[in-house]
Amino acid sequence: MNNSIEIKCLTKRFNAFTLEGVSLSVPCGYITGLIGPNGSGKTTTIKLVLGMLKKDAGEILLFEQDSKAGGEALKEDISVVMDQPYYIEDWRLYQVEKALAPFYPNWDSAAFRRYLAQFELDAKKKVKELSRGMKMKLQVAAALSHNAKLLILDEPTSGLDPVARDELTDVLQEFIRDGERAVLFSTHITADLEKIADYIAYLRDGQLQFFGTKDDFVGAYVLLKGGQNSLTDDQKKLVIGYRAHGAGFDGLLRREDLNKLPGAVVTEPASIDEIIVRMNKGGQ
Amino acid sequence: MKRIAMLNLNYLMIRPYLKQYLLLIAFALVFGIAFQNTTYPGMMAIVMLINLGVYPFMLEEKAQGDILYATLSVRRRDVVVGRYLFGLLLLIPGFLLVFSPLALSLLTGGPAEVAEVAGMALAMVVVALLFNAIQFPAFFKMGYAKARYIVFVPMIFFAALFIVIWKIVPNDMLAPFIAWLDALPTQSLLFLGAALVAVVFLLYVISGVIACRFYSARDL
Amino acid sequence: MDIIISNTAGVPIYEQITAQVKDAILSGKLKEGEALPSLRQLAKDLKISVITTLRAYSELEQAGFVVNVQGKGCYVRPQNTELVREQKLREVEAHLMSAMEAARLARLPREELLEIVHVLLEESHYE
Repeated sequence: MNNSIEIKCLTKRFNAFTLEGVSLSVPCGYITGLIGPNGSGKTTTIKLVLGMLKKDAGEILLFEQDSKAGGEALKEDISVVMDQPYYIEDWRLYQVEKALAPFYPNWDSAAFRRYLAQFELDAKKKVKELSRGMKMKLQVAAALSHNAKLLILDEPTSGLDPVARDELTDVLQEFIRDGERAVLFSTHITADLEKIADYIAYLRDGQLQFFGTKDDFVGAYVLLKGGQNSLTDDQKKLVIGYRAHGAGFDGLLRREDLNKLPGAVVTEPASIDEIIVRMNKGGQ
Repeated sequence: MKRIAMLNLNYLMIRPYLKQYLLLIAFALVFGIAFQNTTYPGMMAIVMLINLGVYPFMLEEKAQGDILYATLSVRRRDVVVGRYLFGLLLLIPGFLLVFSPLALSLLTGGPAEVAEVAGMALAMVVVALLFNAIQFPAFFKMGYAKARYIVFVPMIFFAALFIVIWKIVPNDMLAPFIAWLDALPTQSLLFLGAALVAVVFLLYVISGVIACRFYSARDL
Repeated sequence: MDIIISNTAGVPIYEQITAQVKDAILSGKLKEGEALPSLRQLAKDLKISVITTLRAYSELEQAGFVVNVQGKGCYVRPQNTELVREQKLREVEAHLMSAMEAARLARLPREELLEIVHVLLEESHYE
């Protein structure tokens, strides 16, 4: 199987917002990052994949079957981690297992206990007694305990310290180690994806701006810095998100436009964050 | 099987909160057994059924239960059926409360106000199922926050009914009716009671079908 | 083997990997038939994307340094050191030619060009 999720021309209309013609895939064996500013449609896309919203147009394939026709059994191989756990807060952790296990024929109780131990979570504690980081780890423990083939995460790291975020990236890379399983990681904190994402889908205002490998995404641009008057007006037009300040200017440039610029500018590799921020400014 | 699993999930959802009712239930039981009075435990049962029936909706709203159901391998229909089954399941502890006055009689072999208890049980079933039949579809359509005031509709309905029957309708209109009821043979009374339960149950099921439609069509 | 990458160097990560592996092979640190670390294990160890390691290994295979055995891993190919040496000599010539061309355009006298070469050799501790 090539893609765990395939989305073709997905469209969903709301009053104030429309997700329009989005096409992307989540290939097996890789980590796909879904990025974009808040309100760009990332959570909408995930909700559409999970069947929480009804699509207006387009196709959604889960494990190469139509998500509707494939039925709810497909969900047995999918795990979801959200920014807040969707469990009753007065449940103790062993009760979380009691609640979830009946729905997963592949539920591995020993594995769940192992993960709880590994993440240092006390099974007798209540969900509401956990810190933010521990709540995320609880969801991850549950996610990894039923042999899921696809892991979907929606803003799992907001409010987490760097240590917890690093532990998560470790878990995700381990998850895809067999080359068969897939991860869809939606976030506006792109530092997490900067290193480990294999593919990037970049959404803005409900439209897909880019889908491809992360290396291609960041490799296509450079960060540009120079003096206030280093560029001619024509050259300025090439710069995405041109920002003039008291000590000079900075902006984003397509790598192929580099040769059109004078030598007196400084270039450096652009991070995913820089690209998104500049794109947002530049209205590209 | 999924529906049973959903039923179980409903129970697990309210389990942490049952403690709050234990004291009241114990008190009601003691009251019922000691004083052989079915009215108090009966009222208690009705209040408990209505509250607990709504609890899962309230908890869901807080815990983003819609997301939980979306990640589980259940259809929207199964979620609704599970909730309606849960509403029926709650009747069991309700019956225990209502029948508690008979417990002493069973043990001591003394007199038993079966008719009163039966009447109370009937009232409990009718009121609880009707309440839920009205509330559940509203919650499934609009979510707890928006729909929670709908609980006042059946309350006002029953309160009005109560006032009408007890206060407004003059006694001479009511008396012959009560006399007629008293005069009915037990069999006919049972038949009437059963018919009433059947009607209310039918309404409950219809309410369930409507709730299924509402929830299945909803954007969550 | 050790592979050490820098996120802040201007050089793309996959290039850093191929350069270090090539170096290890040519200097004999990696022997013929030895296995490279698994794609995904390397990605996990270095905390980089799998696609990056994939690209690095593909390029190494294309350049003839390793061979990818499906399902098993990447192994070092026997290196024809003569051929490699010749290829490197040609590369040195080509680079020096472009340096000379640039020197010519700058009207750099021969002595100064040689001076630059000496200084560079000194500074980089060329053996």
